[in-house]
Amino acid sequence: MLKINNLHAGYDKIEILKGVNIDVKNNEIIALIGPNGAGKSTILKSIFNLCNIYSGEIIFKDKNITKLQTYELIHEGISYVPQGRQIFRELTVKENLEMGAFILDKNVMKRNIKDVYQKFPFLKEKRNEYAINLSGGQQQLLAIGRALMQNPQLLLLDEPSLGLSPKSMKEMFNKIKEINKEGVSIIIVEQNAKQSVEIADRTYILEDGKIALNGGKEILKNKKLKDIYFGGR
Amino acid sequence: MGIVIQLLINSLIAGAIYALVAAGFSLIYSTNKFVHFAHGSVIAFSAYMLYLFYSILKFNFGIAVILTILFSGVFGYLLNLIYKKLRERNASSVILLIASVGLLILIESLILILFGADVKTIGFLKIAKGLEIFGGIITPLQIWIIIISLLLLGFLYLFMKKTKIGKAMRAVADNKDVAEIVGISSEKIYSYSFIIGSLIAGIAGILVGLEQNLEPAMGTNLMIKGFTGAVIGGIGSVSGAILGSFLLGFTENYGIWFLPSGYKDAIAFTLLFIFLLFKPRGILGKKWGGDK
Repeated sequence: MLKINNLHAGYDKIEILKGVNIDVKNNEIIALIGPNGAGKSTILKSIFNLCNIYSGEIIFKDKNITKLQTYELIHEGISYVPQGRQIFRELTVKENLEMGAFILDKNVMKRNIKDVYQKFPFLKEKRNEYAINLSGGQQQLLAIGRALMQNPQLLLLDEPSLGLSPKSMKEMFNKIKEINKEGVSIIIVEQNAKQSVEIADRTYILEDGKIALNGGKEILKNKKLKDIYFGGR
Repeated sequence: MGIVIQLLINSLIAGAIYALVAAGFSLIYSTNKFVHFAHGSVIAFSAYMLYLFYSILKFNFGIAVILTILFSGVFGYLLNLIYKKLRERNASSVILLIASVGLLILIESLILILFGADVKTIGFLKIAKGLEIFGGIITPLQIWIIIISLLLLGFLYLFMKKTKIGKAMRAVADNKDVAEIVGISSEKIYSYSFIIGSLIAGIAGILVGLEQNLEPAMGTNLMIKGFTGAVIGGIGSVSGAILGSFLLGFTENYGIWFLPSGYKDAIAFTLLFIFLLFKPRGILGKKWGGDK
């Protein structure tokens, strides 16, 4: 579904990704883990054209999408949920969801909002409340709901568990699995390595802008993993 | 009793005008996140456009008004293009603020060159005998000023709450980065804010132009009042700007009950400084601050 070939990317002149290759198949959950500064978030940002791409290409459903504009990417079926509960705090829950479907047809928006309410019933209950009044976990789910308003085939999640209580975190991972079961492929970037590897079909481990390891759940037992995280070379 | 009512009427008229200036200014500030002082020049521009179309070119009054409002919107759009050029060069909000003061001076000077320094009157309305309400006097134009202002502010409120573009403006004001991620172009929203804010300023310019004499620096005076209203209410909040402007109108007008009327502007400035020193976020200012 998505293929990243030899991607070099970064911010202005600071190169973060130094030749990354990733392959996402239909209906997969892919986890990207690794120490701080390894370039996990930059991979998502480069797919969504939010950083500088120096070379390499990103292919989505056999189409080269490298450097497409945001609205074009949304139309292609890719949605992005940035790090840190990024919502419109002064808009109501309903308005937040509506803004998710800003570039889509009004009828599509109405249909999608029903779907999102079905997946997250609390959003329907609180639809007229200002988003700032939601709890941290609810705000993160609202951010995911907003992305689902775009009917994505591929969902990019940047550290959705950041700053959540263990209970909210568990709920979050359950919701991610549910969304995936309905046919949405997911790339999830996480600090929380163990839980993300467990829900993922495959995991890529990044180290200093390159893929150091990739594999299934057995990757947690790999001896090299410890070296990457704790630098014990 | 008569004086209380008269001051009430005067406060409402002043508040209505300040609120129009402050609402547009606040709208532009909320999305663009910089202080657009040249907003004042749109008011002077519009008053002089009405003078040009109606008093010099002798157009029908209705047509002159419509043309003036349209030109004000276009004028706002063009001002934004200048800021856009600066933004493309990574200008900070301080640079944009300095540019806006420069634009204000430039435009007022151009008006001075083109129309001269002498005071102009549009003279559409013959000096009307005021109506007496409970001992206070109000002219029909002044009643219109209050009604039109309240209607416009009501429309602006509905526009921001109910329409897709209005919601997108609030979204950009709230979190520009997320707005971009869902496909809202912040550049377009900046333009829309300038156009809408300037249309409102254009209407304010027409009302002021009919009520008072025209002079090239009229925009600066009104901008200072509008800015004060916006700061009192909570900068970046459109409803705060409206509230603050009426509060300023009341304070100014009831203040001169106790002080000589020459102190009217001093009252406004004192209020501005009090708020800047002790409550810089204003009455409806947000806890989290919109600046990023």
